[in-house]
Amino acid sequence: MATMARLRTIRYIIGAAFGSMWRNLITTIAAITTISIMLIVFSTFLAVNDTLDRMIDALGRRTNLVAYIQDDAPPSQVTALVQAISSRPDVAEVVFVSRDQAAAKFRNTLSELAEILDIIETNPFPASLEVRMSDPEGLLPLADELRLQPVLVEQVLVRADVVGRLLRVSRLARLGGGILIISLGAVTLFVIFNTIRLAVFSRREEIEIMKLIGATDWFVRGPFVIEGAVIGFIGAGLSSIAVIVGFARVGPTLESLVSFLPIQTQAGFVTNLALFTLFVGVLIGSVGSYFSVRRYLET
Amino acid sequence: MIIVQDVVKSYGSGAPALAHISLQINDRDFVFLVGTSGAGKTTLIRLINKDEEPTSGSIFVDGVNITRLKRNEVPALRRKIGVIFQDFKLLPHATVAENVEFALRIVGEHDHNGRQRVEEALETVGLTPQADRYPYQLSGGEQQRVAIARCLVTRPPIVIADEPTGNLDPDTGWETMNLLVRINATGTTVLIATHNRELVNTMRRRVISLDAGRIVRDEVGGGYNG
Repeated sequence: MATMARLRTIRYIIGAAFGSMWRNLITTIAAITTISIMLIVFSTFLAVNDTLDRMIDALGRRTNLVAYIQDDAPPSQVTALVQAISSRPDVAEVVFVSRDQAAAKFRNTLSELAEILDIIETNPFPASLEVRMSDPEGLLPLADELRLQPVLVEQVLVRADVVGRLLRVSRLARLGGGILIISLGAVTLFVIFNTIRLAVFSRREEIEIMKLIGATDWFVRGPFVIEGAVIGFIGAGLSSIAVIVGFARVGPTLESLVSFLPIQTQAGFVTNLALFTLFVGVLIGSVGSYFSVRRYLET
Repeated sequence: MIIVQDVVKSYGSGAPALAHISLQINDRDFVFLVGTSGAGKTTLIRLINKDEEPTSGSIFVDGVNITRLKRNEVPALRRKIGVIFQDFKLLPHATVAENVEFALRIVGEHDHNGRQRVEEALETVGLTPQADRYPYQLSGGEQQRVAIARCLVTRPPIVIADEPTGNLDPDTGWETMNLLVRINATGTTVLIATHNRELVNTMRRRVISLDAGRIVRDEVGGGYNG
C-alpha cells in the first residue's frame, strides 16, 4: 500500500513537472532558448580550441631537429645516441637516416638534379638523426646537448624560427584557451542558473502554499527538478543538433579553404561533444532548480 | 490538544508580539481568538503551524513539542492542522477540484477513493458546480470555501483559521462561520482568529482575548468585549 502511494506520488510529480512546463510555456521556451544558445557558444568555442590544439600538435609532429652525424662516428655510439634521445620523455620519435638513404631521398625529391650525384660519384650526404618532439619545449635544450658531442655530431639544425613561434603560440593558446573555457563556462552556468532562478522566483507563492499545507520538501522540489532536467535536456539537445549540423556543413568547406588546418570533423569528437553537452544541460537544469527552490523552502 | 506554555515572540528590539502567553485548547473545542490588529493573533497562529519559531517557551500539539521538531518533521505537523488563511492561498493554476485534490496528494492519500473524497468535500462547502473553475473565476466567499474544502478533505484533527471572514461581506462571512461550526461538530478542534465583533458576539463560544501580546481574557461563552 505504501509503495502504491509512493508510485502514485512519483507519477504525480512527473505529471506536475510537465504540466507546469506547458502552463509556463513562454518561460519554458525562454529557458530552453537561453540554455541552448549558451551551450552552442560554449561548444563552438570548445571545437575551435580543439582545432587549435590539433594544429599545434600537427606542427609539432613535423621534424623539429636534424643532427648530422660525423662520417667517422663509430656506429655503436650512434646507436647508443639514438637510444638516449628516444628515451627522453619529450621526444616523440627519432629516425636514423643513413648516408645511402639520404642520397636516395635526394634522388627522389629532386630528381632533375639527380645527375649531379652521378657526376660527383661519391656520396656527399652525411648520415643524420631526424628528431620529432612530443613537447616542443625540450627542443632547444636537446639541441644544446647534441652540440656538446662534436665527436658524433657534426652539426645541429633547429628550425628555430618555427619552433620559437610554435612555442609561443602553443603556450598562449593553451593558457588563453584554458582561461576562456573557464570564464565562458562560468558565464554559461551563471546565465542558465539565473534563468532558472527567475522561473522559480515567479512561482515562489505556489511553493509557499504547498509548504503551508504540509507538503514535504521533495513533493515541492520534485517537479521543479524534473522540469529543470527536461528543459536542460531539450536545450542541450537543440544545441547538439546545431553543432552537429554546423560541423557537417562548415567543416568540409573550411578544410578545403585552409587545407593545412587539421579541422576536426570526425564523428567521434562531435559525438563526444554532443553527449557532454547533454550531460551538462541535464545537470545544470536539475541542480540549478534544486538550489533555486531550496531558497524558498528554507524561509 | 494544543498547549501553549509561557511563549514569548519578539521581532527585533521593540515590544514583543507575544509576551508570556499560556493557554490550552482541548480536543473538539471551538475557540475565538480576538483582539485588535497587532494584538498578536496572527503571530500565535503562525507559531502553532510552525510557520515561525517562538523566542522562548514551548508549544505542544497532540503531545508533541513542536518547537523541537526537525525540519523534515514539520510536514507531518502541518497535516494534522488544516489552516485557512485570510487570503485563501489557493494554487492559482489549479482548478477548484485540483486545489482540493492537491491536499490529498500531499498526505499521500490520493488513492481510488480520492476523487470521491474531493467530491464530498466540495459538496460540503457547496461548490460542486464550480469544480472545474479556476480561483480567479470565483468570488472571495467561494475561494474561501475552496480553502475550507481543501482543509476538510484530509480530515485533520485541528483546523485553524486566520481572519477567515476578513475579506468577505457579512453574509458570506456567516456562511463561512457556519461551515466551521459544522466541521467542529464532526469532532474537529477549531481555532479562529478574528476581529469580527458581530460573529463572536452572536456565537457565544470560548473567547480568548489578546491585547498587546498578552491574554487579557479567556472566557467560555463570551462575547467580543466580555
